[in-house]
Amino acid sequence: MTKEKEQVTEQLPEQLPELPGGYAGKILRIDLSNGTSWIQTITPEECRRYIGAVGFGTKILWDEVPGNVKWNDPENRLILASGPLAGTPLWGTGSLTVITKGAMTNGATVTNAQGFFGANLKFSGYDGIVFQGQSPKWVYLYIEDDTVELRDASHIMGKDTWETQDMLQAEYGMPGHLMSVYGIGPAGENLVKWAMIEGDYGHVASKNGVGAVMGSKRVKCVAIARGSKGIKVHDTAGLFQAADMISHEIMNDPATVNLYRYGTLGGVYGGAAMGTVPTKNYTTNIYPVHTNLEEWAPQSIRDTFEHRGHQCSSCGMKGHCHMMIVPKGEGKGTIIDEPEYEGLSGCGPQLGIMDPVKVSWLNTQVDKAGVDVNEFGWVVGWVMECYEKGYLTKEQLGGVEATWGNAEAANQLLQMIAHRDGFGDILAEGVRDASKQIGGEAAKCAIYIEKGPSPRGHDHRARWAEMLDATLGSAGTIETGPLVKPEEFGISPQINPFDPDMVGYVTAVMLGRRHFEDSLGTCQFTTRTYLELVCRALNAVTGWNYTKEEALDFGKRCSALMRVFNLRGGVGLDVEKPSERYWSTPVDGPAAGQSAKENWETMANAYYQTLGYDRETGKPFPETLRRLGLDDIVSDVWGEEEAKVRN
Amino acid sequence: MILCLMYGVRKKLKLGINRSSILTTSSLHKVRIEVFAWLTKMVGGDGSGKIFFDITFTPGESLETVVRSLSQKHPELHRALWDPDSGQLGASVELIVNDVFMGIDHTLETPVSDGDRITLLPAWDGG
Repeated sequence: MTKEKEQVTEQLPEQLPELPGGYAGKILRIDLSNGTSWIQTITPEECRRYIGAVGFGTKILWDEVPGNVKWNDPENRLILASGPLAGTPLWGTGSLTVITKGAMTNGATVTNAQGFFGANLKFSGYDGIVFQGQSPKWVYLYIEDDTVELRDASHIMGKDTWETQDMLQAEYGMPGHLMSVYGIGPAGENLVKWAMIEGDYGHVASKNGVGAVMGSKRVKCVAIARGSKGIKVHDTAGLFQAADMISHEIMNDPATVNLYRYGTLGGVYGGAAMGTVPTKNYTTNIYPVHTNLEEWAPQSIRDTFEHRGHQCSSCGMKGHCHMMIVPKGEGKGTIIDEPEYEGLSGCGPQLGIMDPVKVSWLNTQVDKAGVDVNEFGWVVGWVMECYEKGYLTKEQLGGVEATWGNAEAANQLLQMIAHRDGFGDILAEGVRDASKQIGGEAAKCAIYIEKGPSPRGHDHRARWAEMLDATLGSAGTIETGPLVKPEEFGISPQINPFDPDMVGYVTAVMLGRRHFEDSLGTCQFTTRTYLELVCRALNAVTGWNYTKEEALDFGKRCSALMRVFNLRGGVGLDVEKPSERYWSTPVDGPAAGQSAKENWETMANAYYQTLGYDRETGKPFPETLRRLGLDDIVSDVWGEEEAKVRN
Repeated sequence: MILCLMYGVRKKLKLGINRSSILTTSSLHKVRIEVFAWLTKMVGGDGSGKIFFDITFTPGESLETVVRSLSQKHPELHRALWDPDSGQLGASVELIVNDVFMGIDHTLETPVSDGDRITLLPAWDGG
């Protein structure tokens, strides 16, 4: 990548090389410390090698953020990027991926949001934005085609994420999808370690405290108008054909048809029967089915609210992403965002809140305050259990009666956290650090990973693969994720979820797909089909001949780079461990008696061995780095002598 | 062999209809298969609630045999359950036996027992 420091409003000095379709060829660089911006151009070869957000982002982290730079140091980089499919007619192509050194792990982070940002970015003529430095005062970045300015944010400070978007859209006269505003709420302003970046009313890049990073740079948000620049496509007919095939699969494949109809809305309903819904902070795996489980059926939730579709850029997945109106109780009559499964679980059964209306309302409050809903569930669920058992008192909590099922109390705690008021200041550090600070019996109740990233919104004691993935992964959250068409790579569509060798092996083999998808500018729900079809769409846009095997290797290369980036920064094997509660044995439910802890070494060994990582140091072996095309960092990782010995 | 499917109890719920069967014989060696949520559409339901099937079996028959005996009568369910290329259990349906995940007490080859309750759950992921 060539870095040419100049004002972006000026004409570029030379003709850009002919790029593959789907690329603007420009990364917008912003130095907040001195208020300058410039364009970093990218070559066709770099497009092929790094593809998009995750590829370019991890490369920039490795090259520009030394190990001694902390997440809140000005020298950290905050990268907001998309990919070559953004803005195309493929479903769900408004994707934004955020890459940085995150606050929870002080390590590499990849977290992805949908909406329109990615398309708007491309229509404005950029492939990504990189922030560095720290602004002397609070600003927001305004982009409208070639107009790129840091503007005073004082009038939107303290506003929640929805208010911020409302105000800026009104100020510029760009309602609806004419402008995307992605930024932080009060939580990010106050450097809550699990603050997130939110935009387009309900779309979140929420993992590993990326909102805290944005806050540390004193950037309130990025407001980006829908630009006027076109996107070049290599083979338009081929793209439409691939898009049609993908959407046909999504609508008709039994594996995704419920996703097409209801998004992830049915997760509690189905998960309750599987014992995978975290309930009251992992103290049980049995949902109180005799209360109101049928109210959680996806159509029942839809019937409870007035609602309408709120789909992302180019998306025809009409059953996913809705807005709705609160029909009763707190917030009656207000518009909220229909929760994803993880919002339902983190604000619902995990807190003992079983009324979908209260849960949905609370989920939107979480979005507006600007914190990650997974960590919110683990933090508040921990407080509620400790309150019930007398480990935390009402006085400690500033008068909040943190009883199970109390949605108002959960919201009170949320506001305390977002503003770092009272006990909220401790909780703002995340459940790992808060529980260690309180200590004693309370510490034993906390669900976390020693490394810092939040476990996702399932009870992973019944999904060992995700516990392993979240704990050993290098991206600040799960990396492999749920398996999608593993049979493309010779793996049975269903494995025994309690076979530790198989869990470790499969999690490693399928690692990479998510990083590939997050580099395309697409949504993982709308590409949840054969990877070969996704590659076909990429090839139609770019003119390449990418294969599904290359796609996985690309993702593995990103992951390996993040792993060595983390190791360089001191995030090592000593923190690759679940908390005692996280890997405890379920006492009831469909996974009762199954111990992830007892099988941990077997799983981890299989994962390491399959990936070609050294179990002693955590490093990818030199031959692994070379196989992934990372020859240039072998000596950095292993040292000159060791690299020769292991050649 | 499928013994019966009768919608004797019709409990109206807000989201749709929950159907339960009434057994008409006292046959031994029966298992009950629960078809859950959107999978019910593949067996004549409306995509919500549960539909129950009571199925007789010969001692020694495996879980796979019993489930296939049902799915073979419902082509859509069959397609959802079994991967068309490999014939293996596909990724879109979870199988739970007596409220316990497969892999703990049961595999597809395990012989079923009288009174077993087999749940067919559509797979749901997060987000």
